[in-house]
Amino acid sequence: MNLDLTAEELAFRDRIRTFIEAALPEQIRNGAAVNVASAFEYDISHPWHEILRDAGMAAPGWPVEFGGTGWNDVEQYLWRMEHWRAGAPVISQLGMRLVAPTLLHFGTPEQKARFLPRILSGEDYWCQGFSEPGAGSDLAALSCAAVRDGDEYVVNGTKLWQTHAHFADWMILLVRTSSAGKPQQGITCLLVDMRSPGLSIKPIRTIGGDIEVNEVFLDDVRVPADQMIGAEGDGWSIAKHLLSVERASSGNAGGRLRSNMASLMRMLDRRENHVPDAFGERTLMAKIARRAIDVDIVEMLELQLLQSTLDDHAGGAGASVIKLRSSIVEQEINELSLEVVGPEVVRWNDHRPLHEVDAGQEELERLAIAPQYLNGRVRTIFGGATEVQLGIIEKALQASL
Amino acid sequence: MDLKYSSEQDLLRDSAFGYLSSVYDYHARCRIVAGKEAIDRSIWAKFAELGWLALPIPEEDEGIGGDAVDLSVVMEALGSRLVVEPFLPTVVLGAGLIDLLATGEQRAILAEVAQGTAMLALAHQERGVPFGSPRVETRAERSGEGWSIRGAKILAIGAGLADHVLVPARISGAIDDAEGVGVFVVSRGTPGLELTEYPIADGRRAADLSIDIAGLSDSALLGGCENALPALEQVIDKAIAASCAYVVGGLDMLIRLTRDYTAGRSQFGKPLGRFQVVQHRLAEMQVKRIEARAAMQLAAIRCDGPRIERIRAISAAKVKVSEAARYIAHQAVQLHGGMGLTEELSVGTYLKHVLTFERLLGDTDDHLRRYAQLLADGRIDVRRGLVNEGAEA
Repeated sequence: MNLDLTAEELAFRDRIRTFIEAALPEQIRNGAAVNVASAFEYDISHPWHEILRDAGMAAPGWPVEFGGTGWNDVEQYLWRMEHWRAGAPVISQLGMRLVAPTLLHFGTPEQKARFLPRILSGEDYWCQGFSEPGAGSDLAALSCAAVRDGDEYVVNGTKLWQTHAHFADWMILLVRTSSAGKPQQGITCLLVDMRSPGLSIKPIRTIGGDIEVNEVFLDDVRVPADQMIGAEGDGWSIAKHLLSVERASSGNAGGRLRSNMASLMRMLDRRENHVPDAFGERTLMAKIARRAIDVDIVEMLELQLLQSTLDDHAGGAGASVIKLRSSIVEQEINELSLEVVGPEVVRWNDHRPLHEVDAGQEELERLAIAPQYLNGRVRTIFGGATEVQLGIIEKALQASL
Repeated sequence: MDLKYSSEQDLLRDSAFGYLSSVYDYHARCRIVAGKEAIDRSIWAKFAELGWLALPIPEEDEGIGGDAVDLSVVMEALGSRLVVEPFLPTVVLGAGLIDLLATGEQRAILAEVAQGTAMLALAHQERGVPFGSPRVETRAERSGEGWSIRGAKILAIGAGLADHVLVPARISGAIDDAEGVGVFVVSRGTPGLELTEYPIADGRRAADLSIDIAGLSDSALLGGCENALPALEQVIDKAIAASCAYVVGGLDMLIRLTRDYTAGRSQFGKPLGRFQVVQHRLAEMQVKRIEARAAMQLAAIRCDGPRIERIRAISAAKVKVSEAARYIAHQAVQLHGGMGLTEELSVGTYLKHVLTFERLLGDTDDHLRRYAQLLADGRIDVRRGLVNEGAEA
C-alpha cells in the first residue's frame, strides 16, 4: 500500500495547478470565498464554466465523445482537489453532476445529442424536481402527477427545495404516472423546459439570508413524451442511481473540507480583537487539530472508495458513510469558525450575494461565517439525511457476514 | 497510489484470522490469562512457525522484511481475538528498536526473535514523564570497559517474560536534553535488574524495574548510539500504529457480537434489533469503526515515511481510534445490557483492552497536542491532501 503519485500524476497535478492559477480571475475567487449558499452563485460559477469550457475542461468525468477529458479516476480526483485548493467555484452542479450522468446512463442517443452539448457549453442550466411538500426523505411518497395525452404528458403538482430553479432553463422532474402497486412503482422521470406555460416559481429565503431554493408549481404543464428518460415507471431506479451519484460526489473532503479548513486557518491568522488567553488558545488549537484529523480521515475514506477497497469493510455502504461524515465534519468546521472569529462574528449584512457588498475582502469573509454556519445545517438534511444514511448503513451491516 | 492489499497480504490475512479463530476463542483466552505465565508458549511457537515473529525483521537478519502494513494485518487478527502473547513488546517495540539501532553482533537477537526463542520488552516509561518528553532520569555511566546504569522504569509491558529488556538511559546532558540518550540491552538475570511484575487491566502483565547495574559490557549499548531518542520516537510511533490495528480488529468483533445479540434478544415483544434506536446505534458504531479502520491504514502506510507525515498520521490514528473504540465498546456493553458487564461474555474484555489502549503510548490529549503543534508551526498545511506530493513531501 502507498499513497504515492506517479511521476505522470505529479506532472498532471502541476499542469492543472498552473492552469487554474493562471485562469481563475481574482473576482471569481473572492466571490467564491464569500459564497453563503450551498451551490455557488450563478454569476460566479457561470463565467468560470465558460473559461473551463473554452479550455476543454468543463466536464472531466464525461466520456470523451461527449466532451469529457478522458482523465482516469486519480486524475479527476487531483483535478477536484486543485480546483478547491485554488478557491474556484463548482460549476453547473446539477447539470454536470446529476443530469449528465443520468442521461449518459439512461438517455436515448437523441436525448444525449440534444441535451449534453448544451450542458457542456453552459447554455442550459439545470435544476431538479424531486422533493415535494409531502415527500422529503420519503421520496417514494411523491404525488406530483403526470397523465399521458397523445404525445405529451400533462403534469400537475408542487415541488419543493429546487436549488437555483430561478436561474434554470431545465428541470429533471420525478412524477407519478400510476398509483397502482408499491409507491416506488409508477414513478417516471421527465425533462421539463422551465419556460413551459403553467410552471411558476416561488423563491424561499433560508436562515442564511439566501434565496437559493424554491417552490415550483406545475399547473397543466405539457411535456413532450420524448422528454421522458427511460420508460414509464422507471423513475425510481433512475432516482436511486441519481441519488447514489449525488451521494458519491457529495463528500470531496480532499477538496471542499480542506478549503473550509484553510479559510478557518486564515481567520486564525487574522485575529486581532479576539485573542484568547493561554488556556483558550490551547483548547482552541486542540479543537482545530480534531477537525483537521477528521478531514484527513474522511479524505482517506474517499481514497479508499476511489480504490474500491472501502466497500469491503462497509458492506457496500461506503458512499453513505462518506456522505454522513463529510456533512457532519463540515458543520463542525463551521461551528469552529464562529469560535475563531469571536464575538464580532455576529455582525450581519442582509444583502445577497454577499460579494456585491461594498467592503474589503477580509470583512466580507468574516461576514460570511455566520450565514455559512446557518446555511450549512442543510448538509445533514439534503442528499439523503443523516438518519436515512444510518438506515442504509445498518441494513448493509445486517446483510454482511 | 495503491490501497489494496497485495496477494501476499491477503494470504497472510486469511491465515492469521483462520489460525486464531481455530485456537483462540474467548474461553481459550480466559484459560491462558489465568495460567502461571499468562501466555501460551505453544501458541508463541506456532507464531514463529507461521513467520509472524519474523515479519518486520530484515531478510539479512533472518527475517521476512515486511512493512508496517504487513504488521497491521497480523495485529488486526491478534486484536480480533484479544491475543495476550507479547507480540507488540517483542516484535514491534523490541525487534523494531534493535533493527533501527543495533550494529554487528547485537543484531543476532533479531534472529532469536524470528525463531521464537527470545522475547523482548521495552522499558522506556518513567514515572511522571509525559508522552513525547525527552526527559530520561535513568543514568548510564562509563565504568572501565563497560557501563553502569541506575534508575527506575514503570509499566514495561511483557518485561516479566522478556529474555532481554531494552532500557533507555541518559549518558550525557541535562535530564530533558534531546540528545545524550542511549538504549541498553539488559538480559534477564543481570545482577542489579529487579522486576516487580503485576497484571494490567486487560489481563496482560507488566513490570516496574528497579535498576542498579554495574559492569554491563560495552556492547550492551545499541549501535554505540548516544542520540537514540529519534529512534525511540519512531519505534513508539510504529507501536501506536500496530496497537491501532489491534484495537480495530477488536472493534469489528464487538460490532458483530452486538449485532447478533440484539437480533436474538427480545424485549417488549420483539428483537432489540428491530427498534430503530438500536439500529441507528449499530450504524453509528459501524461508521466509527470504518473511520477508525481508515485511520489505522493511513498510520500503517505512513509509519516508515518522513517524520512530519508520520506524526500527522500516527497521532490522527491514536485520536480517532481511541474515540471510536471507546464509543463502540461502551455501546456494545450498553446493548448487551447487564450481560455486558459479566466476565462470562467477551464484550467487557474488549472494553478492558480499549481502556489500556487509550491510556498507554500517549493519550488523546497528548496526540492532539502533538498534531496541533505541527499545525501551529505551519508544518502541517491543512490544504495539502494525503497523496504524496513528491518534492513537497
